Amino acid sequence: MIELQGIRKRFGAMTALGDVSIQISPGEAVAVVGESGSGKTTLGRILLRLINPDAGRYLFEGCDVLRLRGSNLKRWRRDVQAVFQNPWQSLNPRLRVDYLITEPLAAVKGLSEREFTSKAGDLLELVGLPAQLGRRYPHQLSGGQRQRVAIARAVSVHPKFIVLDEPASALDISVRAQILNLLKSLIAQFGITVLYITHDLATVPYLCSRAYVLYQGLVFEQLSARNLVSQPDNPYAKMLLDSVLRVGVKTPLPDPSQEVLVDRPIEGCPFAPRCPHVQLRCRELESELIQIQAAWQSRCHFAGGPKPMRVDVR
Amino acid sequence: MKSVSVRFPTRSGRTLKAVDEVSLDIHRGEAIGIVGESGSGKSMLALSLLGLVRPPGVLSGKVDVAGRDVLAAPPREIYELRGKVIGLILQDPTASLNPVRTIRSQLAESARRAPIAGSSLDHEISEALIAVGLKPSEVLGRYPFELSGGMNQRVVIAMALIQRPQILIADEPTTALDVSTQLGVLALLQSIQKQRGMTLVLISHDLALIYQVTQRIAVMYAGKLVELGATQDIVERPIHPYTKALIAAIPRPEAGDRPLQTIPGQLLPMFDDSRGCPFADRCPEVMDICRVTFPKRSSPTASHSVWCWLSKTEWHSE
Repeated sequence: MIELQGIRKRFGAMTALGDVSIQISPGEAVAVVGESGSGKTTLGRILLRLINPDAGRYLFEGCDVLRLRGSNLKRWRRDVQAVFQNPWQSLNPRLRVDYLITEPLAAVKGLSEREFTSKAGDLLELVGLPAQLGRRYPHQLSGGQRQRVAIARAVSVHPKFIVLDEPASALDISVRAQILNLLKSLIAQFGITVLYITHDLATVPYLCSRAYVLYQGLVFEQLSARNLVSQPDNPYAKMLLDSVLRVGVKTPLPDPSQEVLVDRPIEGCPFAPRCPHVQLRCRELESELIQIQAAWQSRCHFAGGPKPMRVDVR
Repeated sequence: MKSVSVRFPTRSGRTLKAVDEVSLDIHRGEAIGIVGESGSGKSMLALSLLGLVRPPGVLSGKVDVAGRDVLAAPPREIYELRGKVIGLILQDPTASLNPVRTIRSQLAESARRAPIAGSSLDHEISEALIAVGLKPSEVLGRYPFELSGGMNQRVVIAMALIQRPQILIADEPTTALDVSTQLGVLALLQSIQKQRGMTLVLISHDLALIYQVTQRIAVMYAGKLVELGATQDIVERPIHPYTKALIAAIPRPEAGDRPLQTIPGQLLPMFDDSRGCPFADRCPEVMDICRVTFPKRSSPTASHSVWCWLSKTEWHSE
C-alpha cells in the first residue's frame, strides 16, 4: 500500500500542492490527471522522493519514506522507478545504449562482463528493440526507441512501484500507442504498482482503474477511470474530458476573445473563474471534497447533483 | 508547389529524399492541414514555401507564393516574403522568444518591419495582443519566463500577425501545450483565419487536431504526398491504408482497456535508390507492385486524390 497523507508543497509564493492525500493498493494502476500547474508532476517527484514535501506523511508498505536515510533509503529507491516525458533529456547522451540499459542493474548488484552482455540483450528484447541497437548512442535513436530504453532501465531492477510522468506525450500518435501497449504488458508481467501522470484523458482507462483529478494543487475529483471518461461529476474534470480531440466530432472551441489571465482567486473555489456553472457562493466559500459514492469524491459545492447555470458578477 | 523536392546528401553517398516530387496547390484563404509522422517531410514541405532549406539540403521544383517564384527570387524579395507574406509559428514558443527581452520589445521588432501608416507603434502592439486574447497592461512589461506556455504561444502568434501576413504556417503549434490551452490556441487560429481571410497551413502528427479547423488535409509519408482531399472525405472515407492507420491510432476514451491501435514497424527514410511506395513495408494490404513502382495520382472525386495501388479509379493526369 502506498499512501500520501496531507501533502503540502510550496515553491516560493506558489503553492504547488495544498493538502493532497492519495492511496494506491498493491498492483493497482492509478492516474493523476490535470493541466500544467495542477501539481501533478510535483506529486510524482514527491512519490519518487526527488523532493521533500513541506508537510504530510508518505507511507510505503507501512514504512515512513520521509524518515528513510542512508542504506535504507538506497534500498527503497530500488523498489521505486520512473519513466519521464522527455526521452531527449532523460538519457545520458555520452553512454551507449547497452550501458544505459544495464546501469541501474549494475548499480544494484554489479555485473560481470558476461552478465552485462546477456542482460543488455535480454532487456533490449523485453522492450522490443533489436540487439544491435545496444551499440548505439541515444542521439542515433528515434523518440520511441529512446522511450523504450528508458522503460527497460526502469523495469530492469524489478521495481514494486513505477511513476510514469507523461511517458508518451512527446511522441507521435502512432508511436504513443506502441509505448503505452508496451508499458501495459510489462506492468502486468511484473505485477508493478503504477502512478500514471498525464493530461490526456483518452489513455487513462486503458492503463488505469482509478484516477485523481488535480487542479491548482488540490484533488478535485477521485473516481474510477470508467466514470472519468463517461460521467465525471466535477466541472473541471468535465472540461478536461471535453477537450479530448476526436476525428469525426468537432470539439466546441472556446471564444478566443474571452481568454484572459487567470490568477488563483484569493477566496472561494479555485476553479470558480473558469467554471461554466459558477454561483455566488463558489466565489466566496472554499470548496471541499464531498463523498458521492464509495471511492468517488468531488470538490464542488454541487457535488453529486445537477450543476446550475453560470451566474456572472460585475 | 510543382514537383517540389528537398534532398540531402548523406555520408554513405546516397541522397535522402526528405520531400519527393510533391505537387500541391494551396488556395487563398483556406485552412489546410498537413499530417504525417516524424520524418514524413511535412515540416520540410512547409519550410520550402519560405525557401528555408539550409545547405547541404537542396530544394528543387517550382514554388510560387502569391506570384513570387521562391526558388528564383532575389534575396531581397525572399526577405520580404518571410514574415510579411508568410508568418511562421513553431512548436516551442519559448524557443521563438528572446528570454532576456520584454514582450513589448519583441513585438516592436516585428511591428517595425511592417508599419501601418498613421498608426503609432504602441497602438499596433496593443491591438496585436488584444487580437490574441492577452491584456496589454498585464503582459507588455513581462518576460517570457513570467508567462505560461499558452500565453507565450499567443505572443508568438501576435508577433506573426502584426506583420499582417497573407499566409500563416503553424507547425505543431499546440504540441507543447495542455489539452485545454490547445483548444484556446486552435480557436484563436481559426478565428483569425476566418476574420482576415488569411491562408492557414496547419502541420501536425495529430489528425484529430487538424480535423477541428481545416477544410482540406494533405497526408504525407516519408517525403511523399499519399492522400489529399476535403477534410470530411479524408476522415470519413479515407482510401490510403496509412490514412486509415493514422485515424485508428487516435486514442478514444470510450475504448476502455482494449489495446490501442498501432502502426507496426517504423517510418524509414527514402533514398534516391529506394523503389516503390515507402509505406509498403508497414502496409496491411501490400501487393507486389507496391514494392516496385510508386502509384500515380488517382482521384475518386474532384476533391479527393490518393496515391495508392488499391484505388480502383482511373488515373487522372497530374
